[in-house]
Amino acid sequence: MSLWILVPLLLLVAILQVTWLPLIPIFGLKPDLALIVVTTWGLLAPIGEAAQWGFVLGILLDLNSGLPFGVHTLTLTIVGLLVGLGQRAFFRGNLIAPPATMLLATFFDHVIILGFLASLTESINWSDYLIRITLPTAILNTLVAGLVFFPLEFLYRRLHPQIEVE
Amino acid sequence: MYASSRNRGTILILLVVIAILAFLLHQTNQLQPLEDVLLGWLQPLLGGATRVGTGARDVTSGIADVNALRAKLDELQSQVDELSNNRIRILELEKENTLLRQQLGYKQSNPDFDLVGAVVLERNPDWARVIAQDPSNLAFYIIVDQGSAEGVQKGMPAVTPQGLVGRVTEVGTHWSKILLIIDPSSSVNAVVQSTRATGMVQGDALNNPGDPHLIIKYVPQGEAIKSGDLILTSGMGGTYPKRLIIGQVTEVRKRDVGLFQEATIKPAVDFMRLEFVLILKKFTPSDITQEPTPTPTARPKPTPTRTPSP
Repeated sequence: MSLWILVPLLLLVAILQVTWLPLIPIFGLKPDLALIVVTTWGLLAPIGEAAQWGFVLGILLDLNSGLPFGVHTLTLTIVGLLVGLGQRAFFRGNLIAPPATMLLATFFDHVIILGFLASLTESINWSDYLIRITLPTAILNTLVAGLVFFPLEFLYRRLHPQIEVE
Repeated sequence: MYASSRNRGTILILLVVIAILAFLLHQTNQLQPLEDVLLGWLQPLLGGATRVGTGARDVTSGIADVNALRAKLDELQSQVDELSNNRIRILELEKENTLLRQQLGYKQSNPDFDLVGAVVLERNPDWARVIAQDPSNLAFYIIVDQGSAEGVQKGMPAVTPQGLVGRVTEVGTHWSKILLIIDPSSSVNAVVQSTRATGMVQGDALNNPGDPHLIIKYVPQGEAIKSGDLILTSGMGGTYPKRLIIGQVTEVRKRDVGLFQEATIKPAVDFMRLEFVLILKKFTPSDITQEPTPTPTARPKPTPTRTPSP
């Protein structure tokens, strides 16, 4: 994909994530738009593309995060990679795949971030975080992913017409 | 941009390695110049987007009459805040008066001691605008548009006229990251205004992210603490100045067994609508070695020795 499209698109996603979404929280939580975009692209695109999106988005999020730099970059890159691999092995053509992947991706993302937090701070109450934050965020992400899926699918068809023909 | 499938694996491994390397470099502060440049570029975009978003929220939340009412409400709220602050200051002065009388008595009964005490609080007159918030639901940080060029340093407290917001954890040239007191990793040495009981206030945003609260812990069982009590910073540890308003007690929890009680606090600051903060560039930290030694006239109170993590 042309960098002229990719960079502004990912920049827009990152800016929305850190400026607009916190202004309109749903039950106090904001959807992880960056994670949703990376996961959805992982379901649509060839292996590796979503990981590269995750890398760029992760850097942009790390710049705006109080968490140690690299945490979002690492998690989103790995999520993009794993979803791409899973899509090829298990998920292709499965209707349950997108919501299930989104739920798993959110848990995976949060577990890695919490792991970092646990290694850097005094202690982490894992059950509190996972039940009160991760679970509702995963559900919220899954719902929002339904809205993000179709625009990204449209973009994918425009960018990869040859693959669609196959 | 995308490589052939033969090289794809190598590139992906490289990306992961770069991410780990970035994390390690950040931990040793060697990534700071690059972060500074990148965030400097992004800052106008973030500030603009936040202003547009806030404006859009304001527009969509009501018609013109509602905005007029809101302006009136803001005006009344500021008056309420001012009166509340005055009331708190008067109560504090009363307490201080009592304490000083006790200290005076102590000084007069110990004329060979050389005692001195002072409290100075100098506030930065410039407001710092909140330009972004942490992207994750797992951490509660804000980014403001003032940094080392404006004299901001790591560890400085951030406040609003309503009360304590948090403290600066990272500083760039024209930006700073502030850890909010509602974050579970935040802890503040506090005092109950009415009883002077001390405790440790910790963030409890996990319980209800939509209406984040705080918890005051390590308050000795014998201390009276009730719903409605105001919680202020104690100044111990030197991280925050004394007497900044943290919030108000809404629920007290005591257990038959256990040395301490704890209480839920509603923060004085509305963290869901934080647009501007003040950063305290200079204050004289409370030195616990200057705290008066308990005397028979002054009821001794145990104090926690734990200080907020940096």
